Amino acid sequence: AALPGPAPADWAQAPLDPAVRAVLVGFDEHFSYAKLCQALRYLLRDGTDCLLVGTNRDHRLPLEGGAAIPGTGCLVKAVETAAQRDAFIVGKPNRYMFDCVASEFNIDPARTIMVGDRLDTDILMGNSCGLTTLLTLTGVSTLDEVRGHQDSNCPTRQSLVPDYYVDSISDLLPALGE
Amino acid sequence: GGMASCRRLSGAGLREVLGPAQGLLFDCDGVLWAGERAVPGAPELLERLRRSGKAALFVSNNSRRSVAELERRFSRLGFHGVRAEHVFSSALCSALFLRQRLLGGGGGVGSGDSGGRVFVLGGEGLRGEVRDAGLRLAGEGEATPAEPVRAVLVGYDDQFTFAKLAQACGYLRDPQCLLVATDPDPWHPLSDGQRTPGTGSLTAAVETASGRKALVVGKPNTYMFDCIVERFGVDPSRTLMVGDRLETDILFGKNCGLSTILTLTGVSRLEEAQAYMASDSAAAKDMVPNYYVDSIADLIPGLDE
Repeated sequence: AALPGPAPADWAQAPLDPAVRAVLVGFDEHFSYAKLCQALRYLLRDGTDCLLVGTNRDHRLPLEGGAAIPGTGCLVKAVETAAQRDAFIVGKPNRYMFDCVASEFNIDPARTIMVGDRLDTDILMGNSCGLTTLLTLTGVSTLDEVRGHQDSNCPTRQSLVPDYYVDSISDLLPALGE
Repeated sequence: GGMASCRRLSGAGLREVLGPAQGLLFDCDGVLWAGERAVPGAPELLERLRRSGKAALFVSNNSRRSVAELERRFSRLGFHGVRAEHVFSSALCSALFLRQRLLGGGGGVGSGDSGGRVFVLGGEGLRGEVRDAGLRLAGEGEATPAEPVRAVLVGYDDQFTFAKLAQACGYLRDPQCLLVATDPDPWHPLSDGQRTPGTGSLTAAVETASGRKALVVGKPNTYMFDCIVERFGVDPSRTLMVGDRLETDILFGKNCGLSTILTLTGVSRLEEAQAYMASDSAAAKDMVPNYYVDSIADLIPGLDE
C-alpha cells in the first residue's frame, strides 16, 4: 500500500494489514527506509507472532569487471539490526532447500553431487547435507581460497572445502557415455 | 573500580553525588524531552544547575539535526540559555572527525588537495554540518579524478534506498575511502511507543555489502567526549553522564571514566539494568549505571537553593 506523507512520523501512522503474519526479505532494488520502517512495525506489532524470513544472505552479486551490487544479505541485515532478531534464512548454505528437493525427488545424498561456484553457499550446503561436492571455477570462488581453507586448522573453514573441482562444468562431458 | 551498583539516587545521596560535580553531560532524547514534549521539570533542573554554577553540556547520537537547529529546539521546548556550542551531536562530531582525517592539520597547503569529497547518507542537518566543517559533498554521478570520494558517512537517512547503498559500495571499492557511521543505534522510539529504524540498521547494510567495518563516531565510543574535552576541558572525575539508553549512554560514561545516572523516561527499563547487573559477562556489567532516577527532575533537590 502507498505510504502517506513524506516522513517516518507519517509512515508510522499508516494502517497495518491485520492479516500479515510474516516479513519476507528478498532481493529488492527498490528497498527503502520507508519499507524498512513498515517491516519493523509488522515485526513488533503486539498480539501477533510475525515471522522474519530471508531468502538468502549473499553479500553481493558480482557484475563484470569486478564491480558488484549489494546482495539480499545486506537488506536482511538491516531488518535484523532494527528488529534485534535473527531471520530464518531459506537459501544456501542452509539445508532447507535441499530438504525441499530431497523430499520431492527421493534423493540419496550418497549418490548425489552438488555443483556450485561459491564455497560459502553451494559447497557448504552440499557438505552439510552429505552430498559429494564439486566446485566449478567459472564463478565467484577461487582455488586460492580453497587452499586457504584447506590449510587452516579451523573446522568451520574445512567445511568449505569441496571434494572435487573443475575449471568449467563442460569438463564433465568426457565422463558421460556416448 | 568494580561494577556499578545501580542505586536509586534520592535524599542525602543526591547531595553527596551532585555536590562535588562540576558539570553534567546529558543525552537529549528520552532525557530532556520525548518527541515535542519536554520531560516535566527538566527545564527547571537546567536552570537550577546554571544557578548552582554547574556546567550542563549535551551529547546526542541523533544525527538528524544541525547544532543550530538543536539550539532552536531547546528554546522552543522551554530550555533557556542553551547555546549551540554546548551541544555535541553525532552529526557535528562526525563532521569534526572527517575534517581531522581528510583535511588533517590545515589541509594540503599548496598541493591543491581539498581532502576529497564525502558521500553522505543522511538528511540536510547532517549534510550541513559536513559542509560547515569545510568538506565537500559528493552529489549524484561520478567523482572526478581531482576530487575523489574519500569517505562514505552513514547517518540517519529516512530517504535511504538500494540505489544509494549501491553507490556507497562503489566508492568503498577504493580501500582509501573511509566508512564512517554517526552512531550505532538500531532503532529510536516514537512518541506512540512504536520504533523507527536507526543508523545502526543502515550501517549494517553498508558493512555487509562492502565487506568493511564502519568507524562509529557516536556513543558508546568515546570520540564525542574527546570533542567535549577539547572545547571545554572537563574533568571526568568531576563530571556525571546522564542518559536513558544503557547500551549507548551508560556504556559511554563507563568508557570515558564518568559516573553514570540512568533516567527512566526513555528507552531502557530498570529491569534491563538489573539483568545486566546479574549477568556473568564483563560487557554486560559495563552497562550497569552507578545510579538511576525516575526522571531528571528528581535531581533538583540535590542542588543548593
